[in-house]
Amino acid sequence: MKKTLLYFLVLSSYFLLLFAGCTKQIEFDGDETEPLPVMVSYVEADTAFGVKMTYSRFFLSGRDFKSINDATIRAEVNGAPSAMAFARVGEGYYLSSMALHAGDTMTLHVAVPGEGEVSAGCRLPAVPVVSDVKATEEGGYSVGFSFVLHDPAARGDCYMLRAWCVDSATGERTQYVVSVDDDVIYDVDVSDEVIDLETSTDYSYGWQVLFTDERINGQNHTVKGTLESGFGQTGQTIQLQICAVSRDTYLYLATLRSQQESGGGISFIGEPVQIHTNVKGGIGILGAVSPRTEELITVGVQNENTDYR
Amino acid sequence: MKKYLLIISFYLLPFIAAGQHTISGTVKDAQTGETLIGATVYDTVSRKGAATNQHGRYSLTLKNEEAVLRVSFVGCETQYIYLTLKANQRVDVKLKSSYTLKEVVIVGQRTQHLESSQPSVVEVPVEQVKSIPMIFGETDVVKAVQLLPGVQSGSEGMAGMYVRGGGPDENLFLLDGVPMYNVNHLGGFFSAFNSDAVKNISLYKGSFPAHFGSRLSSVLDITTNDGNDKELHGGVGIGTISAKVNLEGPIIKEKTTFSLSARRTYGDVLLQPLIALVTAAEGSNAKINAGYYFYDLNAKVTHRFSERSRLYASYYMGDDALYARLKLMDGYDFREYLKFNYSWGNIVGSLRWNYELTPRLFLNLSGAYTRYRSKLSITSEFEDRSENVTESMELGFGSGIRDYLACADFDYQPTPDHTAKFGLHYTYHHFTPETQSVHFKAASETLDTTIGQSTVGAHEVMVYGEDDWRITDFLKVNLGLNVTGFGVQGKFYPSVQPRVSGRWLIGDRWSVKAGYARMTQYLHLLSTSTVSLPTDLWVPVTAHISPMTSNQVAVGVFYNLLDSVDLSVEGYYKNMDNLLEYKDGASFWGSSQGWEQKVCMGRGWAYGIEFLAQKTVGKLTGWVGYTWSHTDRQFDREGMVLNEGKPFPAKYDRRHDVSIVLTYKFNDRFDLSLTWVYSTGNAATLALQQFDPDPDPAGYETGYYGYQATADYVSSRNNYRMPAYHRMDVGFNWHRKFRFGRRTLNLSVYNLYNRQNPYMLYTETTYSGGQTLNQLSLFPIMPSISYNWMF
Repeated sequence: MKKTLLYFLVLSSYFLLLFAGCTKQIEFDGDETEPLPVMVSYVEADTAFGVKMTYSRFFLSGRDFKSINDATIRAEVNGAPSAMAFARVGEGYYLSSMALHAGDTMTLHVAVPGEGEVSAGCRLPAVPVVSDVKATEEGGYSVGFSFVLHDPAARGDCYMLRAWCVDSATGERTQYVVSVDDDVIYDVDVSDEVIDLETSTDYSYGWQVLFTDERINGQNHTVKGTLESGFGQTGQTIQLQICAVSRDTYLYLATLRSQQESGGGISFIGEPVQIHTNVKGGIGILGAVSPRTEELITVGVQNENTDYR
Repeated sequence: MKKYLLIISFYLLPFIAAGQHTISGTVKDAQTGETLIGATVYDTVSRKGAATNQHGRYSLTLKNEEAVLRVSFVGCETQYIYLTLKANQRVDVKLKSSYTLKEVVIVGQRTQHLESSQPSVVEVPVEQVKSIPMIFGETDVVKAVQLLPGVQSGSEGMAGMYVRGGGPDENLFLLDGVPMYNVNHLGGFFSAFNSDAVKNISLYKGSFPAHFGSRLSSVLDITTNDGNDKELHGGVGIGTISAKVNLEGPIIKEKTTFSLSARRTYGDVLLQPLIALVTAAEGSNAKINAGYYFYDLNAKVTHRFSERSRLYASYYMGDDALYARLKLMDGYDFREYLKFNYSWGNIVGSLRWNYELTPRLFLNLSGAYTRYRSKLSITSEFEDRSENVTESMELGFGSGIRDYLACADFDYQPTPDHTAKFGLHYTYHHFTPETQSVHFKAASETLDTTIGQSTVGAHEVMVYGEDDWRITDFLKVNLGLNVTGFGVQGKFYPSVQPRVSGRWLIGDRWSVKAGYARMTQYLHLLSTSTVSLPTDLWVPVTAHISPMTSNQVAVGVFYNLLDSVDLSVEGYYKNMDNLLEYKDGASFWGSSQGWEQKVCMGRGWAYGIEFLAQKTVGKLTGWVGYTWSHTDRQFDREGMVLNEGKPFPAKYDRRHDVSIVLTYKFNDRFDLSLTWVYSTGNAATLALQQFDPDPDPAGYETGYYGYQATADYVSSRNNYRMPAYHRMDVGFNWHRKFRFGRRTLNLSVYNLYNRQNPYMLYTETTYSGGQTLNQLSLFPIMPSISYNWMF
């Protein structure tokens, strides 16, 4: 018996040696790249906007992200220098003195001492045209919605959906998880959903849902979806925000999310994701968002006789 | 018009010339009766020669009245035959094995090496392949081929091949002329080719003859043994992880032969008692049965109707299976079963009929079937007798490809200076990219769904013609044209692919060769990662995804040193179009749905220089190869941009690649083999910078744009080099003759100096919040032992 046991132990050790593999920490054998200035800003129509300036960090450094507190920002709006001023109101955070409107173009020039100029441009898209915004009963803690999106004839429009429920007593907003069930927009095959094998390029679920007009260009398309994590109470206000976003914003958010889902910048299974940037002299995004906010108010009791108006 | 007719007439004139006699026949091994491929038949009077084809047949048309034929082949004694030519003659030749065969003497290779009109072609000696030390002592055809210059392996231990900057799906593996789709066992650690069954291996890296098509980068043409036509022979082998058996002999002496080889791994059988011990030690009452195995079987029957007519039936089947069965019991009325089964494998069957229509015209008709499929099923069963509840759920996933082929190939030698080939191939491809099923059964609910079962049929037609034209004693050219068409989903893709190559002989020892080939490929392999997995799926081109094409030029200088060492230096440049790469973040983890949206089409280019010194005579044999190469990709088409449209190195772009393969034969009883490989590390993508993507001030998150705290910034694809790969393997063979045969005891050590080669890199977050760069290595030093007995 002992011999048999010994035999199996030797054999198993051999197989374990073979398949267990070996991991070790290795030295980075390359040049340590210098930190890059990072600009992150989402310009929303008719709202003062913030610009956050930080430095990136070398991936093995383990340091906190360093804020850029001594940046000088100037704006060009619609091709001309603007009187827009930027005041630093937090760590590396600058707030604009003016708002932009749908259709405006803007270029931000940020002078960072020792770095040269960082710049980025954007154009605020037109506010999306929608109609027939409705809420429907879904059951559980979810609320259904639908609206007709009137996509312009020109190609290349990008959209984002977000939603909140507003507490009637306190006015506090809680963000919903949005889910859009639309196999035209997303070209989703039913089999993907049944076994859920592939979702990395599917942006139909999340805090913000992204899509383009690639398959609905120039059409009046009914978008349907559900909102989750809300609280089904009578009189509750739902804010559904339908945003037109610039192409750069779409690509940045989509690649950011794709990287998050694929496990970061190194991936064994999928290809690593390069995050889109429109910032020259640095990285990040100067996003442009033109939102349309629709309010829906529940008047029934969730799960039983939920009704909406 | 007259001008063209004149040119055509001038070219055809030699074909209809009179006053010639044709000598034709087959060249066989005298001991085994096996036909010999690539044997040289050379008339020393007229200085004309021919080589035997895939069926061991030659045809030599001479004008002279007397001839002295010198017939030679690797490892055989050269034979001289004196002939007086008054009419066409049939001369079948049987070559005896040389006494020095055991030293792996390669006689006649020099002539072929210098004579052939095509650069970029390597005949791989099977005996050499069998002596190369490999992991677990398993000799492996594909791994041996990976040691040649211009051919790179994928990751550690993998059977994937990357030839001159091409991808792993751009290689055509032919087993007795039939394509084989998945040539890997155990995720690529072993190839599906059992070297005991192999007679001949030819690798084409470029300058493809016109009779090959459908892949961009290489053709590995493997011919299996016909079987000994005189007496029964065989062998049994047992190694560290597998056992094998082979048997060959006559069914009807010198008429009908058979050859049979089989092998199977037995690790799963040995592991079962171990699993039981572990389970018992843990005090569990669960019953676990799990393991992995692969097997393959090669069978071939050859029947000779006459000297002019032969029939071959060959069959291959191989499967891998990964399984786990778990039975949980609580001792009362509760039972739970979990079953996992994953199997994948090939079946290749072919029927070929060779017929000598005339001494100068040879016909090969064949019909074949090849199939690859993978099947995954996960089953869960739950039973509670006290509650009278029974539930079961089964998830299934399957994919595959089936090909039906019909081919007519002709060899025609109208004059001593022309060897023509022409033919027609038709293939019906039947793709089942993906089938998924869900079966759920409970007391109150039943679900039985099969989805994604749609199949795709495609027709591929190939017409080709080529002529190996000896213009002078020094100059020989191969002119060919391959015309293909691929019809799929109502769309038809035609392709015209010219092939030209030539050789200029300088004296007896030097030759200069050059070649050009255009190739088109209609199939793609959707691969999950760099590892060859059964989840990889073959799909055809579509209306949106165009066929891949390549143009390759190669120029080489060949030299024979002292009749024992062949030296060559070859340079190549290849451009490729409509290559596929996955979009950022995309993978095909078991899903072919919507795959067109997950890929980008772009172009690539590769160039390099290959050096090869091959010693084929004496006690010390082997080769030293070195490759310097450069491979880039660029994806800049609208909507298909990768890496901001800028060029980037391909994953297997390796600047330097060295391989040394040596075998030293001390005497008839002992020989020692050594392999050393070195290559520049693989390209990998590392995010060298990280940044804060949150638009809000520190400490305040609105969540409007997500909650991600850190993002990785990837400056460009494949921006980092993994550490270099190098490894030494040694093998020691001890042969001993017995009354009933010969036994060989093999001791091998893989990765002798225990180099931890990088398999993949990954980062890990430390407790302090920083990151470390880590490397996963697969195989440390691996000793193995195997025992073979042959009779």
